[in-house]
Amino acid sequence: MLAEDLLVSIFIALTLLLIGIGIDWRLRSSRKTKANGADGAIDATSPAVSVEKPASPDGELPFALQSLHAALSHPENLSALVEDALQGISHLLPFDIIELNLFDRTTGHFIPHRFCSPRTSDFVANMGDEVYRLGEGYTGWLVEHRQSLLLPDVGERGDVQPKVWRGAFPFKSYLGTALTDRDEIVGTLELAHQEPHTYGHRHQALLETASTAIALSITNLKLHSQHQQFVDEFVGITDIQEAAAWVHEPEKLMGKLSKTLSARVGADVLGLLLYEEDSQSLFGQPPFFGVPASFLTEEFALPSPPENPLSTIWQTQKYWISNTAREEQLIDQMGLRSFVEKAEIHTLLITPLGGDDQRIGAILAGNTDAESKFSEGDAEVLASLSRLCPPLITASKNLTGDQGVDTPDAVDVTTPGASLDSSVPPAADTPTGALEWAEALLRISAELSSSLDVDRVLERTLALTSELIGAANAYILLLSPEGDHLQLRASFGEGDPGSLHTDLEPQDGLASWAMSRSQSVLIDDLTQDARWEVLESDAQEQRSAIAAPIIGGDDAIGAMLFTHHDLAAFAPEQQRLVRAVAGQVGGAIKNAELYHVISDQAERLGSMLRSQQVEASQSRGILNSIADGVIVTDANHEIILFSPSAERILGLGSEDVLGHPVFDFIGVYGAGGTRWADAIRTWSQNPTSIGRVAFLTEQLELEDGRVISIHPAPVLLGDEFLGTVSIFRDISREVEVDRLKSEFVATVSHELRTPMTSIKGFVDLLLMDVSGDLDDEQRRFLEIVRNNTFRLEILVNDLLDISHLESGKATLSFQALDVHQLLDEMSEYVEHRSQEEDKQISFQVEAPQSLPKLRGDLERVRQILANLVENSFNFTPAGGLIRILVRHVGNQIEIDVIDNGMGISLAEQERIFERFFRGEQSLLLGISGTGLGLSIVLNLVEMHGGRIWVTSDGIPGKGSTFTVSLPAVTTDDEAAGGME
Amino acid sequence: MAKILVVEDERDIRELIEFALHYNGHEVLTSIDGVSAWELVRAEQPDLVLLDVRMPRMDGYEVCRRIKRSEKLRHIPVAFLSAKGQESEVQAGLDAGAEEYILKPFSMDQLIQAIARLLNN
Repeated sequence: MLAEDLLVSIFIALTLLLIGIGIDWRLRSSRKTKANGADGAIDATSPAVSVEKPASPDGELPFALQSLHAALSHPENLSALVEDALQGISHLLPFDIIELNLFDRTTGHFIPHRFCSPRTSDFVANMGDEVYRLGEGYTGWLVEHRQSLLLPDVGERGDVQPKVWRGAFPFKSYLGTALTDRDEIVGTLELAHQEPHTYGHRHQALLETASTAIALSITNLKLHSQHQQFVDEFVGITDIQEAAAWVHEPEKLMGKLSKTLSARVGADVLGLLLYEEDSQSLFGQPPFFGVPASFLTEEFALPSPPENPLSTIWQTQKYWISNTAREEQLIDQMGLRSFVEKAEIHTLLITPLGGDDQRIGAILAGNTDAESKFSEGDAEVLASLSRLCPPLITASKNLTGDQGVDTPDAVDVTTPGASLDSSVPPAADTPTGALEWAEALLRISAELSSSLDVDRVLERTLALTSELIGAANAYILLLSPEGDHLQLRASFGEGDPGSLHTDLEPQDGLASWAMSRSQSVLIDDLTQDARWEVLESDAQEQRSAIAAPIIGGDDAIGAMLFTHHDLAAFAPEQQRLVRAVAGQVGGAIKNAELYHVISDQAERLGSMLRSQQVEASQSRGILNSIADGVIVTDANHEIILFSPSAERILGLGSEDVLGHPVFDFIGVYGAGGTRWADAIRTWSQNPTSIGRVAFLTEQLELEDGRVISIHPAPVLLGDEFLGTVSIFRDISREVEVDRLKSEFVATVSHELRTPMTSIKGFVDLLLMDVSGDLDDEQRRFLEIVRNNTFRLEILVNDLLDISHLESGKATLSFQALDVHQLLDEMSEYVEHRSQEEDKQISFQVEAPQSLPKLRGDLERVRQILANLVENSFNFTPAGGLIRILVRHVGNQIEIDVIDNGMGISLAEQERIFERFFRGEQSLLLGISGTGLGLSIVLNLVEMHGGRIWVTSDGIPGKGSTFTVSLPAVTTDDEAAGGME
Repeated sequence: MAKILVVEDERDIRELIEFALHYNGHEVLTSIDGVSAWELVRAEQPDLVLLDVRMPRMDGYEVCRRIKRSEKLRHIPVAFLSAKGQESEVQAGLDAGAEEYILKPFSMDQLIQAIARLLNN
C-alpha cells in the first residue's frame, strides 16, 4: 500500500515537473549567463566552459534567447551590438569560431567579426581583416539561398565552396544562417567546430531563432540612428528658422548659419562657399565658424568652375569626405590648401549648399582632430539642412541689393511672385516670405513628429501645407502594402475627395508619375498635360498642380498632390516647399512603420516573458505545496531545485546545496545513496539505454534514524539527458508501523502456538488410549479436533512465514541447485501421499539431461516446488496426472507444473496470488489451505529474481499449468565462486 | 527407562509432557524456570533435558550453554521445545549446544521419537 501510494505521488509530481521543470532551468540558466558575462567571457579562459559544456539547447532555449534579446536591446553602437550578439551565441551553441559577417550595402562586402574558443584564438588573431565578397564560400551560399546551412561533416557537401580560412583551421562541423530583415540581407552568422557532428537540427533551429533576434536588433539600431538624424535635422530646422531673424544683417545670418550647421555635425570649422553667377566663381562667405576672420583673406580665392572640383560637388549633389584632408591633391585643385593648413583641418566634409533646383554653393566642414571623422549621416544632415538655406541667403542678398547693388538675380527670382495675385501666399525669397516659410516648415515638422498616428498626422500636414501654398485641393497617396497600386490616405480642400481616383495603378496619373520617377513637378496648365487624368465626375476642373514624391528610406512610397482651379497658381518656391514637406512626410511614415515593428516585437517579447513568469510561478507554487521533497538536477548533475519539503525532510538549506553537484551530498546516505548516485550516472552516460519509464526506489537512513524513501527518475528529451527529478518522502513512521505489524504478527502467532501445543498434545494422548479405550464416535470427534489443530498450525506457520518475507528481513543463501534432484524429491512426495491417502496420482518429469544448475536457496526453492506440486495433488482427482516440464530459456530455467485437475477460471487466475485468496473449488471440495501458499511462493520467486504465472482454460479435466522461471547459474557466478 | 528433566513454565504443557513420558515409562523431573532447572541438572544429572526457551529468571539458551560448558554435564543431551520457529531462532538454539530443536506445537509421535533418538545416542 505504501508503494502504491508513492507511485501515484511520483506520477503526479513528474507530470507537474515536466511542465514546470524547463522554466526552472531557464531561470537558472539566466543566472549562469549573467555570471559568465560578468567574468568577461571574451578572455581566453572563460569560453572554454562554453566549448566543453554547451548549454542544453532545448531546456534553455527560450530564456537564453531572451537573455540574448536583453543583451541586444541597448546597444550604443554597432560594434557593441556585434559583441553582445557574439557573446550571446557563445552561451547558446558549441563553437570553435563564431563569425558574424555584416553586409556593407555600398561595397557589397561582408565585414567579419569573430569570437573564438581557446583552440582557435591564436589562429583568429592572425586572420587579419579580409572581407568576403558576395557569392563567396558558405557566406555566399547563405546569402543566395536566404536560409541556414547545416554541415555535420564538412567533407560531405561538395557543391558549396568552403570558407576561405578552412585551410588554416580545418573545422569539421559547420552551421550558418543568413541574417535578414524583411527580405533584406543584413549579414550572416556562422559557427564552426573542429569535431564532426557537433551540430544537429536543434542547434540549427536555435541559430535561426537567434539570428532573427540579431537581425532585428541591427535593424533597430539603424532605425535608432535614423531617428537621431531626424532629431538632428529637426533641431537644425528650428535653429535655421531662428537665423531668419538676421536676414537684414547678412554677416550675422552667415555666422548663425555656419554655427548652426557646425553644431549639427559637430564640426570644429564650418563655412559656406557661395557661387556668384556674375563672376562665375566660388568665394568663401564670412564669417566661418571656428576660425578667425583673418583666415579668410583675398588669398581665399577659389579657382573657377568647371576647373574647380568643388563645382562637381555642388552640381551633382554628391558629398565628399576625406579623413586625411592635407594629403589630398584635390585640396590644391579646389584652392583650399592654404585654408586647410592654416585652420589645421585634418578631416573634411564638403556638401552642396541648396537643393536640386537651387544650388548656390557648397558647405565646407572640418575637424582639427584627426580622430573626429565625418560620417555619411553627417553629410546627409548637412545636405538636408542646407536646402533651407538658399531662400534666407538669397533674401539677405536681396536686402543688401536694395540698399545698393541691383542684381539681376533678385529681379528674376522675385518676378514669379510679383506676377501672382494676392491670394497666393508670399514666396520664400522675400524676407517676410523666408520667415513664414521657415515657420511653416517648423510647424509641419512639429506636426509630423507630434504623433505616431499616421493618418491624423497626414491630414494635419496636408492642411498646413495647403494653407501655406494656397492650394484648393490636396491629396496624399501612398503605395498599398502589396505595392501594386496607390491608395488615397489623406485629402484636403473643396469637393468630394472621392472624386479623385482612390486606387490608381502605379503607372497612371500625375501622382504616380512623381512617385515612379522620384521627381517633383509643377504644372501651370493641367489641360495641356497628358499626365493629368480628367474624370467626368470632377466637381470642378483643376487647372494647375504640384506633385512631389514621398520618399521613405530608399524608395518612393507615395506622392503629395496639390491642385488649384486657376491657371499657374503655383510658383517654383512652393514646389520646393512641397518637396521639402514630402521628404519629411516620408521620414515620418517610415518612422511610424518602424515604430510599429518595434512595438509589436516588444509586445511579443513582453507577453512571452509574462506568460513564462506566470507559468514558472505556478509550477513553483505547485512544487512548493507538494508534501514530498523534490530535487531536480541538470545535465551536469548540479542541483537546480531543492523544494521546501526537501529542505524539511533532509534538514538541509537549499542555499547549501543549490548549484552543487548532487553527488556531494548523497554520498553520506550509505548504500541507498550510492545506488541513487550510480543510477544518475548511468542515465546521463547512456540516455538511450533508459526505457520508456525508468524508476528506481531506494531507502536512505538518516543519522537521526529516520528512513527516507527516494524515487529518482531521469528527464529526457528524445535521446538527450536533461537531468533528473528525485522525489522523496520521510517514511520513518510507515517503516515503524510496518515493523510493529511484523512484530505483532510474530507475537500473536507465537502466543497461538503455546495453547495449540496443549490441545494437540492432549488430543494425541486421548487418541493413544492413555486414559481408557475410546469408542468410535469419541475417536472420530477427537480426530476432527486434531485435523483442525493441524490446519491452525499451518495457518500460523504461513502467517509467520509471509510476515517474515514481507518485512524484508528474510535472506537467501544462494547455491547452485540440481533441478533433477529437487524433482526426484517431488516425485517421492507424490508417491508418499498417494499411498498414504490412497489416491492414485501419476507423476512425470520431462527435463533435458544437460540442464544448468539453478541459482537459489535450497530450502526456499524446495518450498516453491513443494507448494506447487502439493496444490496440483490437492486439486487433481484420483487417477490424475502431474507433469513437470523443464526448459532452459536464455538465462532462466522454466519449470511447468501441469495437472489435469479442475482448472482455474480466468477471473480467479487474476487473484490467485493474493493473500488469503482461495478459489471456489477449494472451498466446495473442502480442500484445506490458508490461501497464503501461492502468495508466499510469489514472494519467494521474486526474491530469487524470477517470475511465476498460471495458465488454465478453467475447464475441469483440462487442469492448469503453473510456470515458474528462476535464474540459472551463470559462468560469472561460477567464476565469482561461492556456488556449489 | 531414563531420568528426564522437563523445564517448562506453562503448566498445561508441563503436565502434558510429564504424563506422556510417565506413560512411556520414564522418570520425570520438572522445573518451571531456568535457575531451578540449572540447579536440578547439577544435582540430579538427568539423562535428558527438555528445555523451553522463553522462561522467567534465566532463559533456555543460557541453561543449555551452562550444561554444555560443564565437563561433567555436557554429555547430557538437550532438546529445545519452543514456539519460536524462525531460522535465526532455531540457529540460536543449536548454537547454544542443543542436540534437537522441536517446534511447538509438536505431535506426541514427534516428541517420543525425538526422545528415543536422543537417548539411544
